[in-house]
Amino acid sequence: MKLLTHNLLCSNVRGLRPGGGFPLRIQASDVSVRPVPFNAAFVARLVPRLRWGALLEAAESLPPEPAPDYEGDEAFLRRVHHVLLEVRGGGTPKPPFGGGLTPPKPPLGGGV
Amino acid sequence: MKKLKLKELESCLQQVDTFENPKLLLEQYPTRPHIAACMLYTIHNTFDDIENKTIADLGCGCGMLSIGSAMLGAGFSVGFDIDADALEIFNSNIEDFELTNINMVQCDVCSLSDSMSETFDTVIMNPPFGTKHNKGIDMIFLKTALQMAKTAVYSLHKTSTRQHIQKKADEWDVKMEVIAELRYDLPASYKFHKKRSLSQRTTCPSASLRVPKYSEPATCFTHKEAQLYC
Ligand SMILES: C[S@@+](CC[C@H](N)C(=O)[O-])C[C@H]1O[C@@H](n2cnc3c(N)ncnc32)[C@H](O)[C@@H]1O
Repeated sequence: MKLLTHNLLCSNVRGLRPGGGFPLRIQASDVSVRPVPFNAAFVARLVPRLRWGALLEAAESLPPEPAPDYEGDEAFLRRVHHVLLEVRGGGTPKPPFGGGLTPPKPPLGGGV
Repeated sequence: MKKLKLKELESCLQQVDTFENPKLLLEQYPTRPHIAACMLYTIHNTFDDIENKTIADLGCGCGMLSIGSAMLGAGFSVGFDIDADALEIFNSNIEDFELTNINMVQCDVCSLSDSMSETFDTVIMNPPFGTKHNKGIDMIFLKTALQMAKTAVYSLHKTSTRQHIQKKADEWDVKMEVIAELRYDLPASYKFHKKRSLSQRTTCPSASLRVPKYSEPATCFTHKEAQLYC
């Protein structure tokens, strides 16, 4: 699962403490990286809506907070793009929706 | 990104693999490429709710609507479906089309309600109609979709449920608009409405609902089981 999906799914779960719940701990062995075309406008729109804390838990390569002028900061946006869309982890998220989701299935045909 | 023409979109969507052994109880029939293309094209060109947007596709099946959205420049789409077999086909479609900005989650959409609010810009779906075993699943999908969408929900429904949906929409305080009437068995004969009052969108307190409607009898049941799908 891409970190963006994870971030969207956990972004507004009721009763979630900031930084808590539904953590996606990515094990190095579970990670795959696939290139995705970079779309600066799209990533810039995403930044203010992300749960930055949840992202940091999974990806230490990011700054503790979005850069102040992130919209024009291509290097920053590329880093966010990479973490959100190119890295795919197979971690085991905790059930976020009152038990609604159970751990992911084994990867399909080589994917993660 | 190169602008796709409607005809091109439709012929791309004709290459999308669909259910191998459709599970009737899950109402597994794909949206036809022609209908999907017209629907998505309108959402894109008239309402600008696809390009660079985050999109959820509830009951995504083999991914017809997510894949079409991706082709029209969606920023990122997430498909949700209860059935692993359908998602496996979806996954191979993504590989075949070399689409990189789609993910999928295996879960019971009915268990998502109340948990995600305005997480996605747009929800586009062809939900189960719940005509036999699970009356009301179409409305659960709708309600969930409205909670998940920031801007608008586009959903296909049976003509016969239109009044009921209108009633519910009033109850939920969302604006409903019928944007197309599709005759499922006569694909050439439907027309998208030409006139729409876009100005109304701004007065709408929460996500608005646009409902291309069509008819198709179906049956359904759900189970309380869900899995993340990677
Ligand atoms: C009418 S099909 C639409 C398929 C696809 N969206 C398309 O347009 O081609 C409905 C889909 O909803 C899925 N479905 C049925 N009940 C569900 C539930 N409770 N939760 C999630 N998906 C469900 C079925 O597996 C099926 O793929």
